[in-house]
Amino acid sequence: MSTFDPHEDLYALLEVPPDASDDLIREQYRKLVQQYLWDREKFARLNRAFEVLSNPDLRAEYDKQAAIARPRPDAGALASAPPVASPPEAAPTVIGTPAQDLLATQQIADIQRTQMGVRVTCPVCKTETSTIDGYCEECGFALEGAEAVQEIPSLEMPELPALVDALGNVYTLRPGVNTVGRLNADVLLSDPSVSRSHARIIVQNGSVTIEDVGSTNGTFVNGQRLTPQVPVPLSDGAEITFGGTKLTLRMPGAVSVAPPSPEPVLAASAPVTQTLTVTAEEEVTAGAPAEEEEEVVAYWCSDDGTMRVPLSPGMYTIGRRPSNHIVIPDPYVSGNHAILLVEPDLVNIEDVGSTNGTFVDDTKLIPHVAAPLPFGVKVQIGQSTYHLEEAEKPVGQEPVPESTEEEPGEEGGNDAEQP
Amino acid sequence: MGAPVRALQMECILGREVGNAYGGREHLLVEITGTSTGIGRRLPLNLCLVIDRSGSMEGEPIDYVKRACGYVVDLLDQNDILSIITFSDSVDVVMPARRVVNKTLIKEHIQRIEIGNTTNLYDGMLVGCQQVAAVMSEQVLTRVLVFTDGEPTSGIKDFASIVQLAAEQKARGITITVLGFGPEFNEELLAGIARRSGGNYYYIQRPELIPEVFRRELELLMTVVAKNVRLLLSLPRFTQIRQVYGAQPNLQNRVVEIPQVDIERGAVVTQLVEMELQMRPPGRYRVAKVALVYDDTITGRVERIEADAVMEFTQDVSRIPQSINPRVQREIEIQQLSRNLERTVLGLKTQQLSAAEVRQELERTMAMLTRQGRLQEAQEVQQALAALGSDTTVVEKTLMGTAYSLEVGKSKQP
Repeated sequence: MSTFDPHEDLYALLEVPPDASDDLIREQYRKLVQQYLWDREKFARLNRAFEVLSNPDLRAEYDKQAAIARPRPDAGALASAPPVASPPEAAPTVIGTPAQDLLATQQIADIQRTQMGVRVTCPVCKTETSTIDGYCEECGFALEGAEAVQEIPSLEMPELPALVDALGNVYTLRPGVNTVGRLNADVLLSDPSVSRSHARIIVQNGSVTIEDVGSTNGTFVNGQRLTPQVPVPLSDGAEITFGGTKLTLRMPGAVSVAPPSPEPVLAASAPVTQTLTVTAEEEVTAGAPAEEEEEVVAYWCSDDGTMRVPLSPGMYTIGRRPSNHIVIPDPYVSGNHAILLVEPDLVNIEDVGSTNGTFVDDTKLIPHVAAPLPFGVKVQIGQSTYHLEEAEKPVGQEPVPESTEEEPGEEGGNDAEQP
Repeated sequence: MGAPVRALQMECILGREVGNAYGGREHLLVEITGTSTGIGRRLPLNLCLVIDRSGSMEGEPIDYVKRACGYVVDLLDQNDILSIITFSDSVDVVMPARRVVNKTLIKEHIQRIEIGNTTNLYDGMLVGCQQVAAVMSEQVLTRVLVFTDGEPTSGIKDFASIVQLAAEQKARGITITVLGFGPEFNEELLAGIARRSGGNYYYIQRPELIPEVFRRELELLMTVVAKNVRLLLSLPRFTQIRQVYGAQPNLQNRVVEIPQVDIERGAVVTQLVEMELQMRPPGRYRVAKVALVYDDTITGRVERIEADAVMEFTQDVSRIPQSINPRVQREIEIQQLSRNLERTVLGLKTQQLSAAEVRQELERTMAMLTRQGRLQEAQEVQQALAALGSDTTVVEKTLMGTAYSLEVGKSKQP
């Protein structure tokens, strides 16, 4: 028979909630014991804690004593609550008018609800949940005060406006303010010529307006450069260019027909329906003004086809952190994992000291040493593989001289400080 | 509730209290404050000094280091355990982990440290950690101080392995503080070690400052009120974590564990998290259940503090405030400053940024830090600015520390 100190929080020691199931406790115990094998004292404490909590009788006894020894606002109330038997016993004595009766029953119900954590069905997610701390365990809905509401009308999936890019990626715009940029934005564009904080799109009462927030390379709507900080209304099919990325606005319910537009640029380009068939390169050459032009040397593609990033001459960082140009949200990828050094006729790859390494053709790269990366060769980063795809050079186009290929959005200081 | 004094308090602040029912993103700021009241008894230390005695330490530097070690011995008492390791080509145990009883004898051993040749940082760190691990126990604060003045030149040298070692030791409960001295050490490596293990990073420019920096670190250690601090976020169905600033979170199914640094008396540590909130029926929701779990040195137990981050969700876009909570906004700006600083250091190193650009960037950073009340960091940036043009290594090494301390988000209580 093991003894315990009711002052010690055995649940916290095993890092489980006080209402943890036996399975969870066992699993957690196994995990921690492995972790603390070397720590004799902790190991012994874990063993003792498990001995108590894995035995139903001991656990009940511990809960009882612990509740007295260390009253807690939430768990304490549960364990130390007197058996609900006592209020009902008292009830008959107060029976008088039906109203009082009702009141008494109500009180009992209240006690039951608040102290015993009666299980109810959450009106939002329809999960059976304990009301112990006032929120649905599953979806977090605030249960208190919402009891009167039997049914929460579920939110209808509204048709929201969206931006579509040349590859068919859809960025849904939510009601309210949507930010556009390369860092921490609602419309996240991994294009180095997009500023970290580039523009804002405001959706309200079915109308959409756009405002450039002082980006380095500007925002263009149907070929017209926006004046920073001045909101401009958008209509269905509008072509919006952020740096070198072109997106088309799709309004809900709108018929996919190009609206009549006086813009000559628009008339010259393909009809503004879905731009799925148009490649990014043609898009840029057709729509973007010359000063913006950046030659796409290659595409960085994931083998599963979910990623295809156009590469222009310059440096691209790859990693898990959203501050990278190419973000790979994979826990096996380091925050800053590797960089691509793109030159007009050559792409180099360099591992910047990643934990799990970068593999080119199954060979691990030496950290901090740039290696040339030929087209089509398999690159493994984290759990996924990638390759470089050659961009077909448009006929008759001269390679752009290096001096004009500076990456406009790349410099650390230029665009960081937008209001 | 007549609660006993606990070492920590926690406050959760959301960027906005009203959110868009159609979904959106929101920042959650958790502010952890070490109590400034309470008793003065400090936690006994289990400390290991890991000292670089490579050839470059010859002369003044090693003399100052010896003096600094003697200083540390003076500050400790019989309840503390000290071990001293030196490394060059190989690793020597100058003093195995013992209680600090005979101070004169320990100092004699320190005086016998001799200069060697190369720098075998990995093995030095490993042996240091083994020393403290051998005598680890609850209610004792464990810390390894690694002092080096150069790049690792022998043994295991690559960045990944060394940083991985720090991460492994952190998992065993050992924190490593790094002290980089002079112009030669690899600040990225040292900051990487500190970052992975939650320790501090110091850059020591001149030898005569060595004892002072040792004293500063020891002073911090002696006022630690909470160790083994972890933040646990339990997420309901409609909430996902988008990013955790400045920490390596441990993501499980619906619980995110974010390790925190040790917290001293009167210190404030902030943790910023960005959440992705999905579309949901309008109403009030708890978007995260926040629990702070730590070893409390005042109550002597593992304590758990809980709080709910509650938001209301509405379809009425006009009710959603345009601006976010100023304290959250401030923290976001500070985190951005930290990232910008790291980028500036990189730009300076790779010479992608010109000196004028760096200067402009730093001046702006300094102004912002001053405005945010981060005076110590502002001062560091100013030092870097002063050295710009004459000595870029000073700039890089100073700013690396500034970026790291901004990232950790620790400050003194106002």
